[in-house]
Amino acid sequence: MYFPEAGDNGSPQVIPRNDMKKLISNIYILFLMRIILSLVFIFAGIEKIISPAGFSESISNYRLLPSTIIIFSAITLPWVELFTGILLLFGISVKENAAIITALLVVFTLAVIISILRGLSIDCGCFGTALGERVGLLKVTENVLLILFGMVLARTDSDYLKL
Amino acid sequence: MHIFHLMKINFTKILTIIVLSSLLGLVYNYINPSGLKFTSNVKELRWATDSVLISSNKLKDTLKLHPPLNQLSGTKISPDKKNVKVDKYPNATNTKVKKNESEDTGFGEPLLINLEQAYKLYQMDMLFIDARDGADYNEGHIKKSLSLPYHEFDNYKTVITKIPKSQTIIVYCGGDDCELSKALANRLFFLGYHNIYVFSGGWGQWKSAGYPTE
Repeated sequence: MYFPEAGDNGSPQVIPRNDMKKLISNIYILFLMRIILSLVFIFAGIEKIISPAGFSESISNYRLLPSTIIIFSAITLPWVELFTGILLLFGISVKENAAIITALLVVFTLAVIISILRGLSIDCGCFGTALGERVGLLKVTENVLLILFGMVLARTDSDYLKL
Repeated sequence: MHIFHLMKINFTKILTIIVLSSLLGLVYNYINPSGLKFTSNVKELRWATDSVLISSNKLKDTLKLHPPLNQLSGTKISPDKKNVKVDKYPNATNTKVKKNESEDTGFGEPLLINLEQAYKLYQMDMLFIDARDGADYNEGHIKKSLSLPYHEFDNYKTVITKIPKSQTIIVYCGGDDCELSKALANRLFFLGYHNIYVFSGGWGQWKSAGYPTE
């Protein structure tokens, strides 16, 4: 089976040996990852921007950061999420934005894991206060999947339907 | 840096994106009327002394003057009406409550109380309010306490107004280092509830002590 690769304009190329590598090089799969990741981050960013106080409360519930950093994060982080999400959606600087998103997701996931280990039953604040998701293994699994998407995009790029 | 080079990722672009979006966030926060302030919005509270707590006849007075708690209609704040004492204050009238409100200046700010003090107030049948999220409340809470999740404060506003201003309220959340109870106490205080305590040890300490839960 032939999988068109990123940057492939239809000209025959060497088919990667590994099936997984072929799959993640598929331009449509990459595009799908890009869209999912960008929409998740745009939604998360908007929800947090709408309710900054709720988001700062959510961060403080993790009991990991001092209040000044909590406030600073609550003000800036949603905009970084929104910005990177929009740029990723339109295929602008995909590698860089995917790298930022991956780094953010890794930090978020670590915070969730620490909270689980500490036995905290708190709202994860992942989408502000919109969805009311709790910290838990489901959240970790979701995040790990998104981290994989981000890593693939940061490594491979996705220029399908880019601006 | 090496990994960025290997993956052909432009680090300058990353910095630019982060700085620009952060700046945008700071500017938006500055012009947004409900933007956050860098000073903590949860002010430090003083501890209540036993003399304030026990010798004050105000507690007994307000206790007598309170209308039945079941008048706090609105199902959200009263998840278990069976446990709310109904006929303890049969003579309460709105007039009396109003009179009491005008006389009552409260403590000047919410006061922190410890486990013993909280239990004394519990035995006096004061109103305990759980500031945690509904899910935490459902997992377990101080017996007869009402749920008023701080994060959903706005949804409860109409119900809150049914609590008389002179009501002695004890707010609690998860434990020592949770801010929800203080934040909720400050908001209630701002709304005019001046007889308000924050049980610092919260649910964790109460449960460990083996005091009544449900």
